Amino acid sequence: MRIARSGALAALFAFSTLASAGTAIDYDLIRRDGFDAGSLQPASRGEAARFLTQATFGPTEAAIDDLVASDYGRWIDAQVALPATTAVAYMRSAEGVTDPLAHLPFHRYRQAWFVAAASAPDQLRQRVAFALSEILVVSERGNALGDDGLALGAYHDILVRDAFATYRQLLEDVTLSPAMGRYLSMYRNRKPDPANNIQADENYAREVMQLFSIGLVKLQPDGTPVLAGGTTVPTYDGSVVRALARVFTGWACHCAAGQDCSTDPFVVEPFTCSTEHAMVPYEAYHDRDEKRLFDGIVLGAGHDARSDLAAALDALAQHPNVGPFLGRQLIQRLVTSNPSPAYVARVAAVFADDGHGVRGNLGAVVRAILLDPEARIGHRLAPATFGKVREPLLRLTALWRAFDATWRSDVLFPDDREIHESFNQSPLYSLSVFNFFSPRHSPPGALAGAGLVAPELQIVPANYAIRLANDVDGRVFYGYAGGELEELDPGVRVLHLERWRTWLATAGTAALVARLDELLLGGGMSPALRQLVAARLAAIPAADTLARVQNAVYLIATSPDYATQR
Amino acid sequence: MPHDPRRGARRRFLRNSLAALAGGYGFFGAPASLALLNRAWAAPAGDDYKALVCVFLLGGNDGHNLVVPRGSEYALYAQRRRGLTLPQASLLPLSPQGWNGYAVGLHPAMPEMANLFGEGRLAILGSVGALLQPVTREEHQNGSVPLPPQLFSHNDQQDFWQNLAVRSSADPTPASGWGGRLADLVHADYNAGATLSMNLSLAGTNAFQTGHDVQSIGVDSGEIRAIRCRDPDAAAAFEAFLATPQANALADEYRRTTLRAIGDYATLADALGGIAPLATPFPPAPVEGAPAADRFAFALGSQLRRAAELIAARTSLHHRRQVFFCTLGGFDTHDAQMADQPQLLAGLSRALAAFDAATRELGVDTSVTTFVASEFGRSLTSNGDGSDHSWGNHLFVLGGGVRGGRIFGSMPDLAPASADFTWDGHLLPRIAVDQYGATLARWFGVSDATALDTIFPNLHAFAQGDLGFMQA
Repeated sequence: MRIARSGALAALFAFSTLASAGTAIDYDLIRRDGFDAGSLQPASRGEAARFLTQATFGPTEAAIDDLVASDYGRWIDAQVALPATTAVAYMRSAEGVTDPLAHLPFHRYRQAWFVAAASAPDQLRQRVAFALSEILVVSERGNALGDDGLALGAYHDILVRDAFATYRQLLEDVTLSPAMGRYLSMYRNRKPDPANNIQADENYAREVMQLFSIGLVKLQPDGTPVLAGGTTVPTYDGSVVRALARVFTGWACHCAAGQDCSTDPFVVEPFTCSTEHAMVPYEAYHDRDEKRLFDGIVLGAGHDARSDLAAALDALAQHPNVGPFLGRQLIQRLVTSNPSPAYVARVAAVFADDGHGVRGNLGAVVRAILLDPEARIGHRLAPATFGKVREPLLRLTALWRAFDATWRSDVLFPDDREIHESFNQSPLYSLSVFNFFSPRHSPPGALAGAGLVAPELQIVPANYAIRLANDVDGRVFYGYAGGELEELDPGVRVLHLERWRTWLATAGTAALVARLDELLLGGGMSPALRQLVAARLAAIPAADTLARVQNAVYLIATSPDYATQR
Repeated sequence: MPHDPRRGARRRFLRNSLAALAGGYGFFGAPASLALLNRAWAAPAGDDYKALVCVFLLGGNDGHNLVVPRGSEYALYAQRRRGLTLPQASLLPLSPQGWNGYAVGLHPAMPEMANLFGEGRLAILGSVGALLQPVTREEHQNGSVPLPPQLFSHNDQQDFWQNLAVRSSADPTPASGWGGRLADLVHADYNAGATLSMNLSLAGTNAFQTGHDVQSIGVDSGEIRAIRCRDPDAAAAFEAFLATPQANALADEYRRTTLRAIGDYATLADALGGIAPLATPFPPAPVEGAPAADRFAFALGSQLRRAAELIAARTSLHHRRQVFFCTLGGFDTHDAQMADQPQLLAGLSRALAAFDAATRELGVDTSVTTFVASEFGRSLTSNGDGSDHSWGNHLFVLGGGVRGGRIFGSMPDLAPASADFTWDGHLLPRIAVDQYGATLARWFGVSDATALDTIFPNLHAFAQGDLGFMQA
């Protein structure tokens, strides 16, 4: 990282020059934040919280303590070294089944996700897996995946396991997962049958290129499109889709012990395609003709399913678009909606080579995203545009983690079980393979006029803006320890406000607000919000510490300040 | 030198708009001027009411099995579509007026729509699709005619259907949809006194209803909520704070979104609270274990029910023009098409039939036109048990103002190497989305050719600006 950072620092000067008029001031900022000295220690508890908002499902006071005593680099090392918290084993235990083929209802997956987001130690891995689930999308709302918790839980576990693996590994595991196989119909995709006018299924071939790897148009290393004569250059055409469709032929599910394996799964589907096991090839259905891919890459005739697949995935993973295409989206999911091209280029360079000659090292990419100067001080260099709207789910998990949520039963209470009703979002529950929102969504008006995107706002139309605010009311005024909801259902995630009340009583309102600012806003609270909270608290009798804490949390958690992570 | 019809249209437009604005902003400097243009040319008369309802079938509905040959062409259909063939006897016969093409039937899952066709309330559009200008098989093969970008990509084609613009990914100017541009043109004049946008989305954020001036509002198909808080003083403080601009552009956008939502939802609650309940039954919530069709009927029916209620509330909303956007998802039938598509179409048919009945109950059936859209058609050939992304498609339009019981456009010759398909097997559109939209926009009250050219930027390239499927 030392070598990379000196280059990054130079690039940062270019960025800061663009982003603000006063280079001298920016230089001071950079010096003050220690990037010239190579220190990666958070300058304050607020800075630590800010980092944890990008890298986890939300800061806790304990996590802030740990990070302040360490540094960003060591924190990442420690996180990467933690064993992965997986979903399927948990789901089986919660459902009380041991048979590896037993059905698992989808609500168990949702439960597993919420438990892990709120409390798993491997927060960085979980957070990155969630980001990947919004790029390499499968959804319960698709192609016969309805209520299939086993297939979807197993898919989630692939993302968790591969969060810091190579991109090539991730792409293969995703491609061969039964959930993806069914979602984008590569499962039982067979070679063309010209006599019967049957073509290979193009679904996976098209989306794996468009969404999971290289995108529609050729990119510069900084993520901006290559232009030829003023227009973009397509990465592939219809003939490539058809050729790649033939690559992805001949795969069906693994037949496990105890299942009836007597019939050909391409003719009659005799066993469940809902296991943790990767799909396996059935050569009779694989197309062995030559396949011409993009950029002159030709897969020769006569290869079996596995070799064709390996060659095609190699070609995708080696394509120069992947670094900027994937890197930009991961930056958008973790740090900021409108990264500078230079930031994208720095991340793409790490994708191309992690410093040890490895291409597509996702752990190194995540590290580069989080340690980049733009991630660390972009909010000061470009305060008017830096940051991202928090995804609804991440608003909630941050609230839970900030207030040490506890619960008596892991089983979600009805409102959280149907969380998409109020959030327009729920894990592995997108309406289509295009995710809950598009990375290029630009709300009409001021943002579109300024050429800025705010992807997450695509799922916050008017009705959800109101629901999101009302959700905070429910959590803060009813779902706290000692509140009515706690008695109503053992699955309610209860916020703990007790020690904040104690603290308020001893330290006073200004100190309370400062500490909430640190925890929820990374110390970035606007003066207007501070004034609002102070005025409101002053109107509540000092003895009513519960109402004071509730009002402070409510006003912060419903504010535009909290709605955006910076 | 080849004639570029666009150039003429643009010159004509610039000339007219500059004249109309009399020294004001040029159109390209101030897109907001569409409303001003309308004041000059399209002054509304009377107190008529009209609504357009877009029902977008997400995923790309397979039109080859929506309208199917049922005469001698059936054998060819069955041969080309092996594995995806509907039984000939199952097709619901249609008897289109003045139709010279082959005999056709409707998908058997849509008896309600077949009835409406028979009643003259539903018209079919054959071979519609995204085009910049007419294209033949030969022109497509030799690449001599420009085509819309990324023809087979879901999101790009949803965008093109809705905004009709060729946009470079490097283009920094804000995009708009044709429903939004339509609203830019008519909202201020037709809906004087309205505080709520005339572009009402029952399906969230969308490109179609995004204008330069007018934005859509997402209307919940369930409860119309207000801010609630156990501590009313906390809620009041929260709401008051939304008046404070934020320095960060994203935070400020969030603030504006929430502020506008609260005001709009108060307006909605008032307006919807003042209407009589609809007597027309809409598809009920599906019971556990019910066929998927029940779920689809309910999903779309709930949106259309709310649309009907908003139509009923038009007077208190001060809306004489409304545009609705609804969606039904699940049409990307690469897999299990013969099991899934019938459920989808059955749900679609039931929901639309209920909505049609509701417009009659409200006495506005000649004033409300529902049009079906989908990002693309699907391949004629099978991939084993489904179909893949393609291009031209068959769609339909519904309402008392429609010249129904007819087919507009054409049904393709299904023979191999037919001139109606590209060399690689995609149905060539014979009707452009621009023509489809412009026919609806004319009915909606836009008559000025320049305004139509602005809303439908490719219209000038097609001889027929009005397909004739709407009554005058």
